[in-house]
Amino acid sequence: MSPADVCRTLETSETGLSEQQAQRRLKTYGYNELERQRFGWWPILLRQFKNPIFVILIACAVVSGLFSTIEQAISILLMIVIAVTLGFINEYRAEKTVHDLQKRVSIRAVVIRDGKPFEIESRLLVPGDLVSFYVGDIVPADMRIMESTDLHVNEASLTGESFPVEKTSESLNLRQPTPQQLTNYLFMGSVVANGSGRGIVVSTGKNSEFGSISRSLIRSHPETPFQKGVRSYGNMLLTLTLALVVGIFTINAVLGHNLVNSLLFSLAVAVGLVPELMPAIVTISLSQGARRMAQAKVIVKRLVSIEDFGNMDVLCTDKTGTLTVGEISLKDYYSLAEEKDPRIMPYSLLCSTAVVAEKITGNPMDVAIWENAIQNGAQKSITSYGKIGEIPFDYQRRMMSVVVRNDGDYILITKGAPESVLSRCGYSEISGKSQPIGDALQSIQTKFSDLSLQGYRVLAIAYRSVNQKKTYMVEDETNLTFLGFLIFTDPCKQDAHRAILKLTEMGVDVKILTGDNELVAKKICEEVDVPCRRMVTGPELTQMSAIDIKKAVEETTVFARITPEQKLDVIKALKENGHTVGFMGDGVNDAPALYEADAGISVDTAVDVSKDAADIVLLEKDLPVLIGGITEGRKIFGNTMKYVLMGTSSNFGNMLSAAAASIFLPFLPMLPIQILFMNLLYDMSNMTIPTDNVDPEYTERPRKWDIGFVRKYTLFFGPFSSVYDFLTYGIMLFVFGCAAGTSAPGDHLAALFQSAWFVESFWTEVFIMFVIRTRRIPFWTSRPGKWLAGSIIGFVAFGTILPFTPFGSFLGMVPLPPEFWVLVVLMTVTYLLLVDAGKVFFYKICKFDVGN
Amino acid sequence: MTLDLFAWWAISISWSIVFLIVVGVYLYSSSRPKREENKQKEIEQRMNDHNSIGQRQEKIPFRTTAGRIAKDFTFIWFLLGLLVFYIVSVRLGTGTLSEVVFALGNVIVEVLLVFYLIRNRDKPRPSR
Repeated sequence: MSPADVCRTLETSETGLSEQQAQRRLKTYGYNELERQRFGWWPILLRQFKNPIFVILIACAVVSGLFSTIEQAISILLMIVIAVTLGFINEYRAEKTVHDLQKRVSIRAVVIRDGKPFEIESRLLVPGDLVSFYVGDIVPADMRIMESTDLHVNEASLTGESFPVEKTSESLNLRQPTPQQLTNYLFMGSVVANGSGRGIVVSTGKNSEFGSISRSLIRSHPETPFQKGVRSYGNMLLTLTLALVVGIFTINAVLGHNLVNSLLFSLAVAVGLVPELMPAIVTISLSQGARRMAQAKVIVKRLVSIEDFGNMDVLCTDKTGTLTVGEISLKDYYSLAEEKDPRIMPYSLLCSTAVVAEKITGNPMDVAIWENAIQNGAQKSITSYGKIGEIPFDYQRRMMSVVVRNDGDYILITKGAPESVLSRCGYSEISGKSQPIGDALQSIQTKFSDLSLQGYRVLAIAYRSVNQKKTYMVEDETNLTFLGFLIFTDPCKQDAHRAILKLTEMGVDVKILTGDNELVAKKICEEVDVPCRRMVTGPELTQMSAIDIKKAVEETTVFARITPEQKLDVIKALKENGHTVGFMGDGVNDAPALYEADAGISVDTAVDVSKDAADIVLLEKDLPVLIGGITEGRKIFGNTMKYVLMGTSSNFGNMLSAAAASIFLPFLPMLPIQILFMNLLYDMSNMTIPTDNVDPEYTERPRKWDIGFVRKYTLFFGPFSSVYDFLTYGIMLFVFGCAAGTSAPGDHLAALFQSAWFVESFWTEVFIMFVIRTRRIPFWTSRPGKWLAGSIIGFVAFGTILPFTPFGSFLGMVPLPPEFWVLVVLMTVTYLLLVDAGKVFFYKICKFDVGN
Repeated sequence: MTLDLFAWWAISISWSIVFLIVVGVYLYSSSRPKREENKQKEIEQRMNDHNSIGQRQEKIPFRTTAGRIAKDFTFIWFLLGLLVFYIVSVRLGTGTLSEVVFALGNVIVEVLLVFYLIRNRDKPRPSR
């Protein structure tokens, strides 16, 4: 179909749809988004039931209903409803927050409606919309190209082909073409690698080619260290739970205890051990953190990356926008004789990938040349030239060329890194006279070095006459005549030194990855006072073996003249060395590195493809903004660790002593329904952990998930809780006379024992949060968050009055004597102090810590 | 039956404390390289401090290994004492005496623990 046919079929025109038409079509076709991008309540609700803990709870309810009492079965079902509702409400709110935040950095498209260009969210595009696209854009929908300029598109997400393919608006005459053959079509999800154009939207959302392909083809992020840590923690607990459940049930069965009760009891212990709230706690922590980070101008796109963002110990970044202001401007241009040759500006404008439309987009240096030209009215100087061909830029040659026609002459113009251009020059031009480059080469190189040493970014421009032919190749870039230099400035940031010093203090090693030459990089580092331990250039990296690269990345501060592929190599080597790596990039070619890094960071002004690949988007490309985000990430990690350590210490100790007691006691130490209810109360009290304060010293350095540390912590602090459980058993059995209790239903002494242990166990399990939440000694020197403190006190109060209430009786509890309350207060205080004293041994004497 | 139950109970609580002590010893021995590295840093720091203020070199006192272990394991000795106290107080059986002994003992233990914690409290760090 020709462009005109497409317009007719889609009932649109070259001025685009009207706003009313667009609104009507939006209702008909729906939003231009894929299923996985939509936010809805039901996947969150469904996810609550995927939690294995509910399978265990439902099993408990079924066993209770069939073999025990129907009341117990109903109670367990009620608990399932409460837990699901709680989890759902919290996760829904958390995800809604993140969804709203992500909208702030959503992909946008330039659409022409009623003949005027607008920038709108891509999800609002409808079939028939006329859309403009530029280099770096992600194609927002399937489109028929109406006009194009040097358009090359990367369709790797669709076809797997990593090299960009050329696209034009020319009509094709193909029967049943494959997507690869449709050179006049753009497909949703592909990336504009070069050029620009306009197209008419043909299909959107799930009707697009991208929407119909298998999800397995969509690129997924590698598992982050935090995700790996959570997985290994889950495996550790699963092993412990299985061992305990099988052990308890087998021993009770061998000892001739009631099998149904033993089964229910072992299942209840399993419920008590599994940290079923872990996903909810992590999600709430992350979403609350994401909200706070948004206030600090850091938008989180992928929640799970927050903790790795906080825990990164290496940050790889370009110098533009971090060490420098990031506003590149053309300072000057001149020949070797420092004369303003009248051809330098027009040749530079012609040899450019900048797209000049409603706005000037493209390579920042090309944009700077155009801005300078427009400012000085020099853009008119190229009207007599016609562009014939182009040899695109690539990172190996580090230059590009165009062939233009002027008054019947064909000229090849080359612009690029001076060292690359000079190696292809046979002549130089001084004061209008061309002569063999010979002796001038030394002067040109000296001039280039001088400019670089002053911190200027420099491009060289050269030309030669060529014959007319169909295509021009890299081989044509030879025997050029050097014409002059283009000199760019990007002022240094005044606060860069302070920001880097602060990052270093926070344990983040900053590495500069720049495409500029080593002299410029060195000068900028000196200006902003960044200590440069070692500098490695791209060509040097190419010569290194994988082992050498792994060694070099440790010692090197600045990587100069580095290609995008080498950025990826540096990040991979750092990760292999065990670092948590952050990468900050905003260019078209930074996407692979952003995917590979543990924390991919981009900026709001970056090209679509970089923003899409990033986990975190900064609303300002500024290191101080980053610092606030890192601290927030560390706080979230700290609060998540509190929940983990709680679960693996006091909770684990309780279940361990329950298991042991079930063997020698004549009755169950706690009824299954009591264990389940206590677990529910405990989980609810933990819901406020994400709001807790984190000690400032905890956020001073990056930390890593260390399953070895969690194991040691469990082994050491778990038995403390068991000691006090056994002590409660002893007090109740021998001081309060419960030893005469039996397993007969309704036995008062057994109920007294169970009620007492419920109270002691719940008190110690919940109060211990005050001790575990901080590394400080004594623990009362660290102030807990008001919500956490309030919920702990509130839930303990509820657990305390429970035995005196009708609901307590329903759970099989009886009121406890006053003497018990005195003893339980004393025992709990001793327990808290003893665990704090244990921290002296664990942290101070043995020097264990997360991630050490 | 009561005696049997008490024996079971005494074994259980002793086992949990002994387990804790064994884990403590294991952790202590496995953290030895880290402690020695810290000790080395501490020596160097103290030497530098002495030299930098122009004082004559003095012999820097360090505890013997046995003395250091005895101090580092204060917590373990404490646990063992606590075990004996708990078993004895519970063994007194039903009645006010057991409750009073247990309560008073706990108060003393708490005072000792608070003293231990204050002695080992985190030093305030210089602000940066």
